[in-house]
Amino acid sequence: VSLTRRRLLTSCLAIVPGLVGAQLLSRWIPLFGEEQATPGSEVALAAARGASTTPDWAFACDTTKCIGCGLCVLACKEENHVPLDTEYRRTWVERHVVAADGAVYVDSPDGGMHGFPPDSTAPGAAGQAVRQAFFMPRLCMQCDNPPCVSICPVSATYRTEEGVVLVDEERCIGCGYCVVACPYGARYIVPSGAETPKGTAGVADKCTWCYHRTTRGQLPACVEVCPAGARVFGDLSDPDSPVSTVLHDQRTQVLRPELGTKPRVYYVGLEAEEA
Amino acid sequence: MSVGKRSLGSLRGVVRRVRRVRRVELRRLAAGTAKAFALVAILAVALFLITGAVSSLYSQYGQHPEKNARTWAALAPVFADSATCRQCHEPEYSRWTRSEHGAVACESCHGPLSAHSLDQSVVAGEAAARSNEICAACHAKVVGRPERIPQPDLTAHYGSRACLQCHDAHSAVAVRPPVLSHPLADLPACAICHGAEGMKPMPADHQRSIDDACLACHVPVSSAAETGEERVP
Repeated sequence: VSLTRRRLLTSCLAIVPGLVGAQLLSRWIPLFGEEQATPGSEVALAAARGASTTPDWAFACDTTKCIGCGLCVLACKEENHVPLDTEYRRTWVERHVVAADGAVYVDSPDGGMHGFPPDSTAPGAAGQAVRQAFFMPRLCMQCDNPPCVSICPVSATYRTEEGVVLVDEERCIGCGYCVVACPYGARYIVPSGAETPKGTAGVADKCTWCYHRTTRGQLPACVEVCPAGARVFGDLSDPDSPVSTVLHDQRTQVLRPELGTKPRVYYVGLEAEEA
Repeated sequence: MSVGKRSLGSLRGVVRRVRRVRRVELRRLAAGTAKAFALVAILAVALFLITGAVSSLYSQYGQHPEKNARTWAALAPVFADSATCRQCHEPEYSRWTRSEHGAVACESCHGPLSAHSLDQSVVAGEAAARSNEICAACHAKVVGRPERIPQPDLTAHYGSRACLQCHDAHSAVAVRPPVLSHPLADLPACAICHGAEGMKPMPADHQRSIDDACLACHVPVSSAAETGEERVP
């Protein structure tokens, strides 16, 4: 059969209705068990939050208010089933002690999970005259420009529309690049045998700002139990939210701004060299 | 004439030939159209199968941030919140919100209560039994703790007595002493601090023997409730 130009072009054109037909058919006939989009789920989430627009979540830590009780660290572990061992943590509290000679001693025994002993446990801190001392809550910064997302070789970590960085535990291969890439030390690899809420050991885990609570309109567990008002969470698109008030009234700063990660956790009461 | 006849005959021949050619052409055209339709049908089925296969592969191995985010959002909270506690515990709630401890959440001391709030047969953690430990978490003297947080010397401050013997955790104040109804002539100067406006913080040199002079008759509220001892108001 000789293939004329006309016939070739006609055949090519015939593909168009074929494509359209196939697309329509595949929409009506769930032949391949394709993941059905659940319409309204995002709307339902937004309704649960009591907002029609996507929230712009932010977090503030007030180092002048933190009392170092460690309730937040323990609550986080209970809420998110984080292993109790010290090296696995989504949030922790550091104690910064500045001696009279200007030397800074930082300690965080058990991440502050059981509170703090009367004096700093940092090497060399014993016997030093204390000029300044304060506690500093630490957690994931939910960066606008997160190095953990850029470095993930399998695109397992991503940002939600609210600005929270999450890990897809089904894609994560546990290579640990993100654990190393995070300048804030906010990630760890779930040890085997750990009873995580999703039951996935060997993958990266991190603070989600309690995504399951905040999408229900509740506060993150650490904010809920903080007795001192040192941890503040809210929606920056609402000018009356607690976090908007903190950012308006207080002079805040982010940690390691020079890295360009654009963190969404703002600190009150730090001096320049500590940030 | 002969020329006309011959030309007429050849014209018929030409017409016949043209008709034959046309028939062949039509047949060929019909066959071509059928082939084109068959091709379109095959292509449509093939595309349908390929699209389906690709989408099922994609749903299995592809990136689905929205779908994954929904699984994170679907996790069950372990902590409830104070507003949930209020639904059943209004007396404690109203006493607490107006007190110095008003910023401390229920679950800061009582622990996670989501399970209890959903099913009252799940017993809430007994905070009173751990009260000394719970109070010390915030009120022990620790380097770095802001000065405005009361940090008494917990070993000297009424020794091993439970904090709740004198303090009401929900309102954060020590129990108010009753108005004095007997002379204090032969008793220590209790009323200097134990005035009608409430107790003042205990000085470090507070004598236990002086305490005992009062406590011989006045059993603290909470320990009276525990032991069933008769309490002199």
